[in-house]
Amino acid sequence: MVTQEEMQNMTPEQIAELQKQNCIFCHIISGRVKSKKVYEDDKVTAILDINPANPGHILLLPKKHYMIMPQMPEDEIGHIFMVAKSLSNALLKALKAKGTNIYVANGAAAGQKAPHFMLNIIPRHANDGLNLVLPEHDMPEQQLEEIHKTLLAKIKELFSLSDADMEKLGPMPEKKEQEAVARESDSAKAEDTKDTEEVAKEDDNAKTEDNADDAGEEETKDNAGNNGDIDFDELKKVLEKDGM
Amino acid sequence: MACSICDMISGKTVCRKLFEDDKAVAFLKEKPAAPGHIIIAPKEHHPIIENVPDFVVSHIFQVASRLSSAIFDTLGAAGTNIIVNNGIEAGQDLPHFTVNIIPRRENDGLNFQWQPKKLDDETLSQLEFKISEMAKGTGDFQQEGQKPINMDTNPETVEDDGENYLLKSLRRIP
Repeated sequence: MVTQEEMQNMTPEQIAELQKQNCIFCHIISGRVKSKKVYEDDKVTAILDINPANPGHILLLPKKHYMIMPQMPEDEIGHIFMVAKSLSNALLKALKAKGTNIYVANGAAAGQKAPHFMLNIIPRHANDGLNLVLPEHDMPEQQLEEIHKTLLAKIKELFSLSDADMEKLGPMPEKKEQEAVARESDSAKAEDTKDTEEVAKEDDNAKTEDNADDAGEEETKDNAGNNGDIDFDELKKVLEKDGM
Repeated sequence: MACSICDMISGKTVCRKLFEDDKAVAFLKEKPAAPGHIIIAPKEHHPIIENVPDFVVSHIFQVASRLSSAIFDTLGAAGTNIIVNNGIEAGQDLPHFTVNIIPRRENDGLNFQWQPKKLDDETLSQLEFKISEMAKGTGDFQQEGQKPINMDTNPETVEDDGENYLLKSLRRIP
């Protein structure tokens, strides 16, 4: 074992080497520990999780030891996710899965358990008992605004964006606050609010009819993009075609 | 098809955009799983990742990684989850492929952990065989600029820019 003091005197390279020596996934990649490999190239290795969320659960690992995604060079990130797309497709075909989850945990607070960065690709079936549904919390406009501003400033720096680039993102939606609120409320309510804002005030009865009969009016058609009105048939067709 | 994400990209509905280039758009989710929840989407409408061109997939996740760094640096997050729900049975609730980046903090009440299933070695070996068979085609990724061949136009037209190897070798024939 290495003591705390010895650690402090080590170079970053030595520490990385030490982490590698203690990483079970590095041993799997090198072949010293057995695994069920489903894909391998010069940059990544894909193995089956032996304690899967669902049968066919793939762990996709960069061959180099990175703890979290932001440590990885961007070309390797691009590569690993293109492989993930292909493996997701392989799961749809091989297992007749009806969907996949691609799941990454960066950091212990995010549920990361191993010290080696990895992608989870999980095949999904109807009523398989898994629940990766993301909760939706209401958030005050002011808080959204603060987060938006904070992130924009950092993103400008990280992507080396010019002021002109930033302007293209559109105005901060302060003046459009009302619309934003309307859009995010549940679909029926949102339609009502928008109708009141955009269409001249008509009597309530007529409005209810509009909502029931979308095909008729352009104005209502525009609102059909709300989450409640998704045409899932097309999505299902695509999935079924891919799943065959 | 009406799509709420396409409407946000085109500006038809207002959203809090964080990043935009020729391939991808990122914006703040109005109803977040956690404060700072970001959504990234390809600009072109594709329902699931299988339809998104490889080079766009590559680009989107490179953007996702930088946005993840932005979250680490500014929002005091101790981690991030990157989650793709690909297909209705996987929990997809939008008709447009999207990537979620969710800032995580200790004891934030979120839990995406699953109950591990136990599989015997034989079942695992069968899965390994089936999946690796289907994964064999992996690796020949679409590059940007590769367009599907249009059979209506004559693809044989060669531009003589003086650099074309075939033409040069033709000229060399006495």
